Amino acid sequence: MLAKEKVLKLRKALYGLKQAPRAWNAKLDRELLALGFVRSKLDHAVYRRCNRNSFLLVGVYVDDLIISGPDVRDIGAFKKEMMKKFSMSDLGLLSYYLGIEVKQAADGITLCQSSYAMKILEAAGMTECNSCETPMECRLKLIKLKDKDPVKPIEYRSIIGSLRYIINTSPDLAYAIGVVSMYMEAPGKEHWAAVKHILRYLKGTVRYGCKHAKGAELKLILIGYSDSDFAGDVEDRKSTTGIG
Amino acid sequence: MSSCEAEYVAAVRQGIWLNRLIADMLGAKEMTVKLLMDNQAAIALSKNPIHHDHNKHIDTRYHFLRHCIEEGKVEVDHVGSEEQLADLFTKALGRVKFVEQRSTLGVVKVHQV
Repeated sequence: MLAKEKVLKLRKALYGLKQAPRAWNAKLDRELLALGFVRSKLDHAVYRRCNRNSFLLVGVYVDDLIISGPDVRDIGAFKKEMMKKFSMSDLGLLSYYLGIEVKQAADGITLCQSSYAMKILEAAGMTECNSCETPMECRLKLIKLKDKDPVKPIEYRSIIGSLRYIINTSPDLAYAIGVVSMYMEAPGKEHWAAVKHILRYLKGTVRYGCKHAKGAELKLILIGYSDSDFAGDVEDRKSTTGIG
Repeated sequence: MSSCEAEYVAAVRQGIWLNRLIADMLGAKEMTVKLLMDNQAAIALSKNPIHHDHNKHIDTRYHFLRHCIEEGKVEVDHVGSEEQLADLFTKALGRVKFVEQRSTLGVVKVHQV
């Protein structure tokens, strides 16, 4: 036991401390670089290693790694290298990552968040609601609350926070969730109605996900769609921009 | 004019970043990003500096797009409002159009009941 006025000086980062994730990332970065990987300048969570005429890609999320590459043997070899350095478990073919369910098939890859969506509906007490076909009413214009008497603002923010993560696999919800997010400060009855609308839509599309189909051509093309509503916001005349 | 301005400003940097990331990951050369807009005025502005006098107030940084076109990084093309996929991200659509655009985006039923 230490006397009350004494403190302990830590010589290294402990799990749960602010410094721990930084220390971990520094270590992982060091080890990956030692194995011949190069960190992508454009996304620091992506590492790439070139060898012979093949390559290996590693995606990092704290201590979860996704390994990908055209050659299965390379992947196996890399796993062995990593097992020597860290005690880690191999979860096999990617099927679940950060709450996203991944299905890999011959015709493409699908990503969905069904169980996450169910959790949101449960938390909101909307598991038994009737579903609807669009996330938002046409031409609905919401405005800020005038008298600033918000209705359950904490619950509102909590639901929006959970919903925002679902946009990863449901880009169809992006606009509707973007709109309701603007009223987190002081949500009123109308805003709650809009959120309920989104949840009812979610109920109907729990089993939906994003499909990345395998193209017939090997050539990769990047196409962007750009549009903007002109000063669509009735209050501050800000425009909404969409990129597809 | 003003709508053109909003659109022009909207023309994206995201595409450029994604393009670079893909090129970086595959170790390949960067490709040309195709940018589709439904606003003819914005497209004209991105290609042709003749209208420049009317648009001087559009800040230089927004002319980044024109620079990218000149360098061959981006290619701008017109898309009819019917096929404008970004509609889904800028307004609340009606049921028919919404369902159509949703499947074009690749959002489909994954699980079987």
